[in-house]
Amino acid sequence: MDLLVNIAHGFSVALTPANVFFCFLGALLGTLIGVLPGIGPLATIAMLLPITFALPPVGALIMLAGIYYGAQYGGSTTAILVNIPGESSAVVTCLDGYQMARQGRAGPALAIAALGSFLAGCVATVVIALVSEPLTVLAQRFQAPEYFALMTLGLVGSVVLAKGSVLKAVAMIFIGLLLGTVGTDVNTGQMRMTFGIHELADGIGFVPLAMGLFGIAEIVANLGAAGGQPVRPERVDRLMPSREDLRRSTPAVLRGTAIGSALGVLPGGGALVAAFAAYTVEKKLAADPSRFGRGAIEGVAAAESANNAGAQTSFIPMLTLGIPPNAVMALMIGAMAIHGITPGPEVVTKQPDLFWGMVASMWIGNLMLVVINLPLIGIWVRLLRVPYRLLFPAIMLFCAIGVYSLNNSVVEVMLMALFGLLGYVLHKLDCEPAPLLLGFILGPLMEENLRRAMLISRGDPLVFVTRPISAGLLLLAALLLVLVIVPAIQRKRAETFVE
Amino acid sequence: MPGAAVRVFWKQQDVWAGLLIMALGGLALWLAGNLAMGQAVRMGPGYVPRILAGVVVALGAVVCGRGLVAGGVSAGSWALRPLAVILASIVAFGFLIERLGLVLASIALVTVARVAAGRERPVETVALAMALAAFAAATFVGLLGLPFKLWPA
Repeated sequence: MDLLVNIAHGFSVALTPANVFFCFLGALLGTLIGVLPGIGPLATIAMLLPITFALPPVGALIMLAGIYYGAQYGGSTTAILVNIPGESSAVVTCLDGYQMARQGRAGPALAIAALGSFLAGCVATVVIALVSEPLTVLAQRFQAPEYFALMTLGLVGSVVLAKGSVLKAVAMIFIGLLLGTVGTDVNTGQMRMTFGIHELADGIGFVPLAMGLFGIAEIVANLGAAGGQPVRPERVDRLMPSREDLRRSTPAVLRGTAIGSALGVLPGGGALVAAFAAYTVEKKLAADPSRFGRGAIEGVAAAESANNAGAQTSFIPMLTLGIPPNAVMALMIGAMAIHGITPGPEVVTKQPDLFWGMVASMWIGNLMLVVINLPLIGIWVRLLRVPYRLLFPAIMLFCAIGVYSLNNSVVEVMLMALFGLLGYVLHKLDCEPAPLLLGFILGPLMEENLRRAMLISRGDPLVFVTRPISAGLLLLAALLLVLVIVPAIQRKRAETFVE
Repeated sequence: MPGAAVRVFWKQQDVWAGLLIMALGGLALWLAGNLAMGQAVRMGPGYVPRILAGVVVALGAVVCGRGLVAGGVSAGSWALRPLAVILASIVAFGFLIERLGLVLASIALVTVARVAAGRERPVETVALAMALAAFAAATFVGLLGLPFKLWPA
C-alpha cells in the first residue's frame, strides 16, 4: 500500500540521528518557552526562528513543528498549575485543570493532559497521512480562481475565530491585506507604498510584523497590567492518575481526538474551537454536568486531546494547499518561505522527504513530549517561579536579535518596534491582531491569483462563480459569514430589548 | 477602569478604533495615489491597493460610527511608560548594533528595558544585562555562527 510505504519513508527520514535531535530540541525549546507566562506559540515560533536558519530545510521544519506542539504542551502546564493559559486554546484547560490542582490533584491532571495529547497526536498524525494524498490530487486541479476562492474562505474562517466584534476583525483582515501589498509589484516591478525605503522593496517582513504585533505588544500589555507579580504554582505531588480517573478520561480523550481532528482541518478552525467544542460535548454527555468547572478530569482530558489533535490537523491545509487555516500556520508558511519552500501540492509530490519526514516526526515529537513533560515536571514548575522582571528583557533581546539576524537589517528592528506600538494600540482598542497577520500572509497570494484569474477570464468577474469548485468554496465562505453575523445581530437585538 | 461603559464619545474604544482604521486606510490611499489603476482585465500596480485602502477607510468609518451611535466601553488606562521604554530599548538596540556591536547593544537593550518594570534594582539590572549579553554572544555568534559584529571596531 502506498500509504504504508510513504509512512515508512517518513520514518526513515525522521529517525536519522540529526533529525531526531532537531525534533527533540524543538519540543524541548517549545515546552521551555511555552511554559513561560505571556508568550504563546506564535511568539515562540517567531522568536526561535533564527535558530533554524543554519539547518537543512527538513531539519528546520521538523524543529519548527516540534516548537509548535511543544509550546502547546507547555501552555497546558501553566493552565493547570497557575490558571494562566499559556496560549488561547489552553483557556478551556484552565476551567477544570486549575480546579483539580487546587484540590491537590495537579499530578493526575498533568498526566491525563499529556497522555490525552499524546494519543490525540498519534491519531492526528495518521489523519494527516490519510487525508493529504486525496487533497493533493484535488489541489492539482486548482487554478487561479479556485485558489482565490479558497483563500477567501480561509479569511472568512479567521473572522469566526476572532473574539469580539466581527466588523473589527474584518477591518483587521483588510489592513493585513493592505500591508501585504507593500513592496515591489510582481507584474510591473513598480515600488508600492514603500516611503522610498529600499529595504521595503521585498515587502514588509513577516517576522518583524509578527514579533511586534504579538511579542512586543504582549510584553507592554503585561507590564501595564501590573504583570511581573510572581505566580504561585500549585504543588504537584503524585503524577499517576487513579483507575477511576482513567475510566472517566478514556472516552473523553477519544471523543476529544475525533472532534479536534475534524475541526482542525477547517479554515479558521484549529485548537481553540476544537477544545471548546470537545468540552461542551463532554459536559452535555456527562451524567452529572455540575462537576464541570469544579475539577472534572473529563474536562481536562477532552480539551487537551482536542486542542492537540486540532493543532496538528491544521497542518493539513497548510501543507497540501499552501493555505494557512490560522495565524500560527501563517507563520509556518513564512518560515518555510525563508527556507525556500513554497507549501502546496508540489511539496507533497515533489519533496516526499520533507512532507513525510515532517509527518513522521510529529509522532516522534509527541512521544518525546510525554517524556519531556511528565518526569521533568519539577523543572517546569521551577521555571514558572522566575519573576517576569527577569524574563521580559530576555524575551525582548531574543526578539531583537532574531529580527536583526534575518537580513542583518536595522530597518527590520525598527519595524518591529513600530508594529509593537501598533499591536499595543490594537490590543487596547480590542482589535484582534491574528486576522491581520493572516490577511498579510494571504494578501500577495490572493492578489496574484486574482490578477491571473481576471487575465484568463478577460476581465469577467463571473469566472469565480461559473467554475464549480470556486463557486462551492465561495458559497461556503458566504454561509460561514452569515452564520457569524446572525448571532451577532441577535445579541445586539437582545441588548436593545433589555434597555 | 478598563472596559467600563462610557457616555462621552471621545473616550469610547470603538470611536478610536474606527479613527485608527480610517487613518491607516487613508495613509495607504495617499501613498498609492500615484500608482496606475489599469483595468480589471490587466490590473495596474495601484488597482488592488487602492480598492483595499478604500474598503479599509469605509470599514473604519462604520466602526467609528457605530461607536458614536451605540456607545461602548472605554479603552481603559494606557501603559504609556512601559510602552515608551520598551520601544526606546528596541530603537536603542537597532541604533547600536552596527555601530558598537552585539555585546554593547544587548546591554543597552536590557538596561533600558528594565526601567519599564519600575522599582529600580541597579545591581540586578547590571548582572542581568551582562549575563544576557554574554549568553546572546555565545549562542548566536559562538554556537550558531551568525556574522555579527561583537565589539566596537
